[in-house]
Amino acid sequence: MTKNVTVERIFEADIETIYGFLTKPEKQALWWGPPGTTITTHDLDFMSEGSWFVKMEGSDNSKFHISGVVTSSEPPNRVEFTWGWHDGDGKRGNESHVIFSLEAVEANKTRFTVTHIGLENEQAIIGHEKGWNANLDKLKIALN
Amino acid sequence: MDTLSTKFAALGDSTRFAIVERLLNEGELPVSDLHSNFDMSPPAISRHLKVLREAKIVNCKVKAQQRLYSVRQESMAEISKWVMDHKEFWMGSMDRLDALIRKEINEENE
Repeated sequence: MTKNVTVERIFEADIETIYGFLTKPEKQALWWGPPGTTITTHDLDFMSEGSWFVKMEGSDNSKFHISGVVTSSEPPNRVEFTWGWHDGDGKRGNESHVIFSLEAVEANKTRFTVTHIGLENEQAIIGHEKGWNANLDKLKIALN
Repeated sequence: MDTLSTKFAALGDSTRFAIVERLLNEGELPVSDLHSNFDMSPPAISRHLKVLREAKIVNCKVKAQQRLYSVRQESMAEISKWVMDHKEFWMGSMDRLDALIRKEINEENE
């Protein structure tokens, strides 16, 4: 069963500014990933269609590698791309799809919505072979 | 050997995984309970428990001639750190984006 994840927030800036942060390589690299992660290398450029990747490191030295293809970029409202985690051997796992959409709420307020579609599981195992997600879901349930 | 990959390998077996799951759900259990619960010979279960001990996923202590097994919480914490939740990923990213935008606006206003 696949799952979708939607996260949205309103930012205090105009739609073009936000679109810039979402699509310009030098800006994208500044915010991708949860706090505590650092991008080590990347090829992020969502202004045009084509492949992308990021490699990140967590504060505990855990390593993340994600890649995909930008399938459409419609300034200043929408970017669509594919997404796949790589395991420790570099092998790419299941592919999911991500949509960034922007909507001007007011002159200086923009709603940014991330929709992550077709996730095999809510969680991704970093640096390990697939098939682990379901097991870890079970472990997490047992732990809680 | 108690590296993370050893732990993943140890948990990669369905019997071992079921043992750990049971210990997580029920807490500390005597080895006799584990033996009676799986459709497998006691020596086979013992071998699985040895793998789990060596991977430092479970603890074994001897009390009144009983061997009691439990899950090492540190190991579970280590494993769960390797799990990235997609919602967490995007929410965390948005937190950073928000901070960046605020910074940029402040700089423009100065």
